[in-house]
Amino acid sequence: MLANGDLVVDSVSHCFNHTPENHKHPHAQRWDDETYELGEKLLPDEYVPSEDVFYRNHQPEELARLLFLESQIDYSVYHSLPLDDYFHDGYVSREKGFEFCEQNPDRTSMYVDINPLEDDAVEQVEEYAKRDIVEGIKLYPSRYQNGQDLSLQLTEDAVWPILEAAADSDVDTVAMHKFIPFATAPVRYFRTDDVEDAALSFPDINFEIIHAGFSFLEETAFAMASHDNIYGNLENTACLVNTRPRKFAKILGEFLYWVGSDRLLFSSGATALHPQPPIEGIWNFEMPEDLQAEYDYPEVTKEDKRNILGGNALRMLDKDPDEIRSNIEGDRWEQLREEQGLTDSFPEPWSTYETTV
Amino acid sequence: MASHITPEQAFEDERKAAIRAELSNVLDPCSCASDHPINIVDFGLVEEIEIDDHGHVGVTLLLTSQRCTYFIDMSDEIVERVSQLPAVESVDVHQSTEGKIWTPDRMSETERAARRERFHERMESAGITPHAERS
Repeated sequence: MLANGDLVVDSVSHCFNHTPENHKHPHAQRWDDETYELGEKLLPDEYVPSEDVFYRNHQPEELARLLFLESQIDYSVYHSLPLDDYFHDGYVSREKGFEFCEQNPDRTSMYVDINPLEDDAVEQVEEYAKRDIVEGIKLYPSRYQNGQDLSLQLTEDAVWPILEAAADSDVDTVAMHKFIPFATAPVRYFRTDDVEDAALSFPDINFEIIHAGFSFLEETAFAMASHDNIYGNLENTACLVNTRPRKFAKILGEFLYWVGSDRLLFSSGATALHPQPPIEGIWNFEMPEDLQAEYDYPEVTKEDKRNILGGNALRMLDKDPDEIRSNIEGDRWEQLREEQGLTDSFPEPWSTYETTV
Repeated sequence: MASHITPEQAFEDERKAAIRAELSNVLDPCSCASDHPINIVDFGLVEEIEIDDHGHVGVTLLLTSQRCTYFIDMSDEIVERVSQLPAVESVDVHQSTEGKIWTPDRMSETERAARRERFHERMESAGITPHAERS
């Protein structure tokens, strides 16, 4: 929670499974290692997890402790991942997501991953959308199958029916991984062109583009400025505020200049990353004066920060902040924080994990 | 001071200046594909130029993507052009893979300004008014 009582909402959390038993493809080890290295680059040194903490099958209870004890986050949206071409459980399983949400019903929502190439993909959308906890669909732009990287852009024939099913269902949001290329998939799969087409054709769906600003910044600003139903999800990008502050300033500056702050979403990216540093970084961030002068970037106001750190997500999820505040008041996590004397502080990073060291 | 080779940089070794001049004729393939050709020096892709007493040249590139598939094309052209210089015996082209990241800051000021102007023109032609101006 912010000092003024505003809720901090995390628009992406995951329970990763980084164990060798989960590997299904030779590239899986690279995914694990590169995800770890990403944390080394994006986090202040004291927040980089030990390998003992990182290389495990993270559990819902561990994620909940990380978010609700070790950071200011009050509410989180769990995204399961459809990477079962590389990992047996998809990398971030649906099952753990449902468990996480069931254990923390007043603090969580879920976006369910869909693989559009499965025969019953449309039926899956229809079924999952009926669950109250499910607020969105999570897609990836590429899939590795039979030795090839297949394009799963939103405009593909295989994907469009998923959008049609989402539009007819109770879910309002489609979230799409973009901007950070992976494995051997062509970089063009990670551009925003398909999102613009989809946003135009499905005006009632919110399209969250994940890792907004990480690359293709100008294209993203153009897409968001052109379509009110495109949101920039700052998973990983938010961490740049501490470790690449000039890059972060330019990303935020472009978005604030062209789009404003009301469609930018903070995300922790936990369990790959520690959630607290980007929250503090964004709250304390000031736009450098030279960038304001050179590029006309506006100052970053407290209202902008409140929007990004939770206000926008609550509005998009159609959640009443007072109702959430009331529901979580005195809950298990508040009690634990109080018992451990954590009302104004946080435990050592990753210390709520049980380790063998 | 920039850590990479810039168009304005002064060299004590004249051979390096000659090599940079040749590198300034090598165009970045992606920029050509997008109809705005930029040479690799203006693009900020040249991380280092080395030349020893025997004329062995090393050129290190920091690409915008570690997996840029055009590295070989650029490397071939660099070898072809730089090898023609009289003081040069051999040329090796390396890719910097030490974790450094290319950012648009590395582009020459002229190209950065031109790129920004194109972006603003695109926004304007789409009828988009900046949020900052609206508010």
